[in-house]
Amino acid sequence: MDEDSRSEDNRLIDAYLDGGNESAIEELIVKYRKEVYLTAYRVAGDMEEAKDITQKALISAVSELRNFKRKSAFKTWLYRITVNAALNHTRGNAYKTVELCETIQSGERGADVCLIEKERARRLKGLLAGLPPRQRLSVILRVYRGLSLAETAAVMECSEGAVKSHYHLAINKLKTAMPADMQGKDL
Amino acid sequence: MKSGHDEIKDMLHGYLHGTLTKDASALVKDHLSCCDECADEFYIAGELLKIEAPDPGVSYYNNLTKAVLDTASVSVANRFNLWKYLFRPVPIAAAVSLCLIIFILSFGIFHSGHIQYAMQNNITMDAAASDEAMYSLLEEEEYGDGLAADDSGDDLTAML
Repeated sequence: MDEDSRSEDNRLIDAYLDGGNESAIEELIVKYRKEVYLTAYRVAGDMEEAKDITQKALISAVSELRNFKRKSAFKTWLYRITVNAALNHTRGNAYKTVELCETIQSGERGADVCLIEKERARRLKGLLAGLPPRQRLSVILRVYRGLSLAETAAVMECSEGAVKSHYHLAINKLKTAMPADMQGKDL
Repeated sequence: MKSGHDEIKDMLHGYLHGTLTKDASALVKDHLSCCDECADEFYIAGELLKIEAPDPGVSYYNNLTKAVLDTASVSVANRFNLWKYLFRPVPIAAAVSLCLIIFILSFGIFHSGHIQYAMQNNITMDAAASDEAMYSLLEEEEYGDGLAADDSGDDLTAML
């Protein structure tokens, strides 16, 4: 994680906590709101739910900012809050599957290819949703958010070894579950 | 530069997100052509990245910031704070506290004056007390001897 970004975050936090500077916290929210939404979306799998989770997570982060001990980066702390909010929100709710109800109405070339791609993405999304929560989280944080092993471990509150294990189990499950027609590698 | 299987595996996400140097990227690319395990992982991660997340729109983000700030400031303001509670500006409590402080201080001043007065008087009191003690000792000696003789039966033995 960028050290400059981390010190900049701490400066904004200090400005808000010590000086009551509301524009500092606004800047911090603007900086991270999209990442929070994308993480929430990857966990929840639904846009409306992701919007609710994003709002809850950000409110919780701003309210609890005084309790942020700075042992980790603000970004890691915020991801942890987001992931917990998303898991609490989706607990008991089945991950919503996206129904593909589009039909090929266009006569343009490539429309069928586009539909195949969408179908592939939909199936892969379903497979990801079917993974146990910690395996799913390791994939979301590593692949979608590009976090390092250490950062992923900090967000998931476990060891780096455990993250490695969850991640590789997840990748193996996805690989095994992916139908043969989807496994067309083109590096 | 790292070149082992595990090291390359750690670099896969950097390669996927395009954050590696040119040399490191070339190393990963070479490794992917000869390692099926890493190639599978890279392929699946790449496929996962193709799944797009819907954009909620600029208006959502703008409203979100305002909603978060409004709600968070209300929740912070409503949170119970012991220090704030104890030191909140309450006119009656402040007046009562002030009266109590004045009372304690005045009592302390009065009491210290009284102690000084008592210390001066104690000298005469001690003298009077020592006289009294002397008299009681003398009385005890006079009557005590008589009682002791009676009790021990010395008088009886002398008579006998």
